[in-house]
Amino acid sequence: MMSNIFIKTQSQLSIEWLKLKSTPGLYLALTCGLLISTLVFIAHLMEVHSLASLGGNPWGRYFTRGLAIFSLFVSVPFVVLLVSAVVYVERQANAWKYLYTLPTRRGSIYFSKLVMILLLLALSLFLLVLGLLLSGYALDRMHPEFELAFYQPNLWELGAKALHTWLSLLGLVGLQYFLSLRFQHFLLPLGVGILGYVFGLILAVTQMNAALYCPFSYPMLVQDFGMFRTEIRASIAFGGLSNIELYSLGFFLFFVLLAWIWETRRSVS
Amino acid sequence: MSIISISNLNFGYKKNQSILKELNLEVPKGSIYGFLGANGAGKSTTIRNVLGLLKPQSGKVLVFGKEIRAARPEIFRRIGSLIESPSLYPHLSADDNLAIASKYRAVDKKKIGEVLEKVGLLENRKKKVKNYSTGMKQRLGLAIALLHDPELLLLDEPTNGLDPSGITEIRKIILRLREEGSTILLSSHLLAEVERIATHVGIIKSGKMIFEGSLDDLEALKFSQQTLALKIPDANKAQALLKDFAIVSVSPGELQVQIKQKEDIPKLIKMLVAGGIDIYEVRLLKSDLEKMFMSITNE
Repeated sequence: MMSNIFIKTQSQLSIEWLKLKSTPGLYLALTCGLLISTLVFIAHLMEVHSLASLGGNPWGRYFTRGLAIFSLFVSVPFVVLLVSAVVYVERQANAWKYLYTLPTRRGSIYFSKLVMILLLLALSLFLLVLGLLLSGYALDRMHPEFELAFYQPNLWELGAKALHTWLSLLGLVGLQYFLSLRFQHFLLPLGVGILGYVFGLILAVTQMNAALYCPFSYPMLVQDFGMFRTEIRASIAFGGLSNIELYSLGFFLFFVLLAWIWETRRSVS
Repeated sequence: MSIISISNLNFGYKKNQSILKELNLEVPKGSIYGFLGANGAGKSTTIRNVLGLLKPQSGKVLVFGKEIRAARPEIFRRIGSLIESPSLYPHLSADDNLAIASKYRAVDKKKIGEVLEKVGLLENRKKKVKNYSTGMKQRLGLAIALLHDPELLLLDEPTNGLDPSGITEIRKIILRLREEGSTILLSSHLLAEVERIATHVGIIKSGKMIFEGSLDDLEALKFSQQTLALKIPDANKAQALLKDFAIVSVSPGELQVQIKQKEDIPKLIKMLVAGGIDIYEVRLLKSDLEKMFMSITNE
């Protein structure tokens, strides 16, 4: 039974992967993390003293800066674009009427697409971490005064930080997935995403309690990047997760359920 | 036995809207069912109801004797469909598009080459679909519908956008599929297209089925409404001879007579010749199904 489900899921994911071949969604997922790490690398090349003069293990600061750039400025537009692009593949192919006449349950198509989005998000974060690691060593070769090779990078800590960012983005993934399925065109989810990003940033900067209920603010609040205060975040609320992550999971479940109800009942005209 | 059975189907996109009205339809096993109607008559809506893509307001839709919403995966395993424009991923090749379909349907990848050959796209299998012509896309859509050797094939306007040779190709494929045992429902707004291959015909007008039967039934209907025009020197004398026939009009040199069956034509000619009347020309004024179809479907 379990192996059957595993084979089916694997097959569905391989279909989703094939559909994404040569699409903007896939390019976005593959390049975003690497691009951010490259920009962080270039910025440090231009400002050599920013790391070298502070002393201690420079890896932590280097990673935090890379992750901060991603979480504060890139992650929200990235998720908005990624979700829209993945769902838009079906719209562009006029494929819903075909998909829903296959001997596959609607829910199965729905979940495989969602899992693919979550995996692509994880892949981008992994590539960001990998990019930061590689660019850190490259930076050290060019500027030994950074002393990056002298210290060991704390990969567990880096992995945990990336995981917190991933979890904080789940609420937004759920919301955007619902919008993309409900409104079968690119513009509306994109418009909501851009406005939500600005709104989320304002709430995060001003530290309003309302930010706790705005999934757009979560990646900005989930960790202390030293950019602005994160007082509304309760560090350890449950099982090592902050209240931000718990809210994110709650929004994720709510919107995923809403989208599932919509998708499994809708007419395809 | 009916493969598709629709009884008293009512459908509208909104509560008070009525697009399909008490529609009844029976598609016999092994038939090519030509589903005819003008654009906007409700053909695609009916097919979408059959496939469970739309929810009827009332009525019953049975496919293979079962309600589609109750046995969706089981029924879809036996159906292939091409609804209006084909669903194709334009950034992928024909091979990739078929690979997706083969994975969804758990069909051996070897079948991809077979169906591509069947629809004449084998040489273009690596080309991206966005670079295909309309006809090629339509044929690829058909290949996807055929991939799993369906028992029932639903084709909604499959020859849309095709050139005459493309239409002939599709026609040949449909006939071959029927020989192989498939049942085919083919919707079209062109009677001439359906007339050539269908065994059964249903005509829909403004959401209502106005005719359903075999092609022979339609032929009989056609003759029951036909008028024969005769060019003869003495129309009045001819009129007197043809007392058993309904005369439509009499004018100098031409007589128009209504006939009820095709056997009436030689009978009428023999009577005139026996009466010593020379016949210069015999014409069927409503000589094809197209005109009859137009007369049925036009308000």
